[in-house]
Amino acid sequence: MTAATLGLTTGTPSAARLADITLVESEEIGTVGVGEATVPHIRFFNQRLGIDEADFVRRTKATFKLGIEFCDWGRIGDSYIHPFGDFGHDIDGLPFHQHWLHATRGRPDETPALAACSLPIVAARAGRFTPPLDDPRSVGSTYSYAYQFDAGLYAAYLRDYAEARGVTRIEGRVEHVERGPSGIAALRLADGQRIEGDLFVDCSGFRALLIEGALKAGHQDWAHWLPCDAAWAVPTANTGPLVPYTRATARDAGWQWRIPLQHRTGNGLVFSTRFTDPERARAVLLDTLEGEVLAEPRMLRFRTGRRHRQWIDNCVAIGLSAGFLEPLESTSIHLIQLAIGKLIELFPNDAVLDPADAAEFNRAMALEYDRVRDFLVLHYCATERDDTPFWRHMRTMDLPPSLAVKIAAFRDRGIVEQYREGMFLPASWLAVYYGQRIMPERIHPLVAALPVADARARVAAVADACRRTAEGMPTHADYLARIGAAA
Amino acid sequence: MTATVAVLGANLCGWIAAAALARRLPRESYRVVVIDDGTSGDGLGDFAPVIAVPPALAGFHADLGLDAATLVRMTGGGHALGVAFGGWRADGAAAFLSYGETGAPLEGIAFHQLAGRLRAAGHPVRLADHALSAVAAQAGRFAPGAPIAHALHLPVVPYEALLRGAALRAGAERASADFVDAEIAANGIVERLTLADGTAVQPWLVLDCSGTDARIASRTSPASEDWSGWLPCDRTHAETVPAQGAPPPYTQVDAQDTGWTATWPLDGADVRLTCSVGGTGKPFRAARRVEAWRGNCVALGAAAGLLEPLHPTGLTLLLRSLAQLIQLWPAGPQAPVEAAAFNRTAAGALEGARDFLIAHYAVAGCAGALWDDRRAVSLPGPLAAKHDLFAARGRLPMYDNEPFEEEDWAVMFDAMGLMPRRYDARADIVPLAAIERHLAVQRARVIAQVRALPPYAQAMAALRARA
Repeated sequence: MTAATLGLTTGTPSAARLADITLVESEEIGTVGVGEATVPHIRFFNQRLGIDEADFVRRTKATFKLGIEFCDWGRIGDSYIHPFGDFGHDIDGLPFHQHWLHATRGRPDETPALAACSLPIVAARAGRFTPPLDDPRSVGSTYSYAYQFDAGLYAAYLRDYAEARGVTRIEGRVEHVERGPSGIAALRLADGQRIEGDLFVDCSGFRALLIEGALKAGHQDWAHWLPCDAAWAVPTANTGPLVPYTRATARDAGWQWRIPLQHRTGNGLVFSTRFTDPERARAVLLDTLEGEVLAEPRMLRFRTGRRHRQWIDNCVAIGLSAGFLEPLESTSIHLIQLAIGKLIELFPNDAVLDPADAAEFNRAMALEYDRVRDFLVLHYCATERDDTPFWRHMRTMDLPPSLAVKIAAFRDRGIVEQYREGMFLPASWLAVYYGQRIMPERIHPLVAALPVADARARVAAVADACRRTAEGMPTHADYLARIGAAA
Repeated sequence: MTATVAVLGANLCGWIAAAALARRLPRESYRVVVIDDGTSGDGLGDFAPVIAVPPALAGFHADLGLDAATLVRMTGGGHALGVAFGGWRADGAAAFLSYGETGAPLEGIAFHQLAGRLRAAGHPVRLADHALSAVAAQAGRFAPGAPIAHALHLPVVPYEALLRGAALRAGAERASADFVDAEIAANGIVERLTLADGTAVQPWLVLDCSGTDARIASRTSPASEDWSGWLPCDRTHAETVPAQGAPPPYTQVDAQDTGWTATWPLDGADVRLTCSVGGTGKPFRAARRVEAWRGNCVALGAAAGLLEPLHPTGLTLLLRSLAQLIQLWPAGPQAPVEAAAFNRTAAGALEGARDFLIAHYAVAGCAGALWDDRRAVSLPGPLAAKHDLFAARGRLPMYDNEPFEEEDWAVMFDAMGLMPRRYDARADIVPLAAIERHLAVQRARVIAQVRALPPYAQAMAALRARA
């Protein structure tokens, strides 16, 4: 994809849409069609577009996702799942995990693991899936879910959707960007076409043709905290039953993804060229694959960070042109869709650009990227691994101050900071803290004052409800078959 | 051994704190002891003999077994469906901010954005006409117990007595004598509180509810941030005047040359509070203690920060601080991690409330030197962003921990006369006729609901007869 322009029809916006939209795309420039894992927010995006879930799952070869399994992160041999859901429920207004900590006192072996108190974890481990219930009193309502699908097929699906609703697609390659009094005036294509617009959306990926190439937004580099800068991607044939979760396994100088789709498995190794070389990384990936290799591995390079400003004058950057964070927590599509939502909320409906709109877009998106960054860095710094130079760097590097404060508060007594904006809720932070062996030194004193037997009984009851509810769910494969998807 | 939680201030603020904590703390581990600071203040700024209690306190009251009807009947108080602002707009029109919801969204588009589309098409829309609380207030209709969000106007002395009773029933105690002095160790820990009868309390934690004097927090955590550059009113004067006829179920706040005057109607009397720059009355200053929690002393109420009572923010913030204190309940006298987390949230809440008040002045259309100055002052950054984005397109950036919601801000700016230059582009996707119908249906429903309510005076007479 080269660039998309949004050309506003001033005065008479049609009833069905906000603007006349022209998409400029070049077939010469390939897209990266790897298996893509997502987060639950994508369901709300699809719902807003009126997309039928079963149809979408069939056409994108999608599977359902209850969370991500992380292997070998805190220590080699460790495994935990970051679920899309809660651990238990608050008791007398105090967090469940504090009661769980209290219950483990003295007799940790007799207390169910915290993971046993999360229905999506229990269901994921059992290979089961069904959509959550609406009844808030039922444990069956305590989770959410996302999808794993073929990104190329989702792009095609959305292209059909957009073209059916009047978006014009122009084949061509942008050769020159014409500046205007307020940002960009037009795009000149290689074949001589000139595309004018009132608003330009830069979806040109890492090249950031408009936001950086023409408008020099500037880039904030996060390689110090997130040094991975390349990845190998390769599809394999499916082996064994389809699991309803993505897997991320820590490796010597990065980590490896495994994303199960209906027709194949997406795999990849994200690594840092500062700590290993591409050939070695390729070998590590190929050595650890489970199924038959279906294509030659392809290498991608990237640069972690974000633009200082993602909206300048009449140009809005969305996707990789705005910033990049490695796909460890499946945030890429979410950040795109969040930016689209923000752009619609702030859409300049009379073609008059107001600096307040850009200021709000830039504030909100910067905060979102920064908070995702902190959450990703947590996965790397919360480790006891010191077996390679990569892990020694990650374990001991200085942290963004916003993250250091959060970790200190949790380590001290299990405090999880809550914020108004930002996609990861307290349960996500808890999953990673506990999953990577950050244990609070103290528990909440008011929880500590309660009888341990009560805490044990409550934890046991929650774990029991999770186990029984999961047993009543269909297997992931059965559920897919039920909605007409091959599995 | 039990740890003593000493609450300094046997006043409204102190008894609320004592009641909230005594309910939550296990009695075998903690004693909650309330110590009179020897003053008659309420710990929340001492602005008037009546206090506006926002809807947010309903849950707290319910936990203590106090329902709104009982509170009003036992204290001789009243109800407020919102605040009518007189003389704040340049065009002289009245502005009403209700405690309830205003209108309803359509296809995910906020109500005030729908109104923006209609206005652009030439239809005048007053947001308050679509708020149940506002229409009921204007019609003078309301019944205690009706499911309409509302505040209460409660005389401070009997309200405090009811909360004192609830706190004592929940297990709080009263110290044997008034506070005299605190002994504070070199490391900042409050070790002893000496009392007038020669006895002493050894506090494990001190909650300083002694109002702006902050008798202990002013020593353990003296640094304070002065906000009078943004909120220059520094005198309040309250009087109670007899009133004839039925009291209206709302607060009236009229702009004055040097500030404003609020009227809180009670049965047979009005309490009038004038808040002004200079003039006569009790002095005060808008400010915030930089670290409300330091060592083993937590400042609450006016001891933590003070804002003029244009809206009932003091009680909202107190309740939030108490909820936060339970979440961060310390394990010992030194709790720097807990204190830092508490102070961060408390600062966000107080600054959010402050900005909401500053915004009234920044957009009001009143004539006069004070008001010209207020419009010219440069706003705190987050508020400037809110103002600019609302003026541009009726949206609001929202920040962590702020006590007012996006809709509160939109309704307030709109009521004060700040009109967005544009509305949400998505409102153009909905046919104009569908928006008109949506508003008409809503308005009809509001009117029907209000018709079903009795005149407020009649309902109050019935309430008093129940006694």
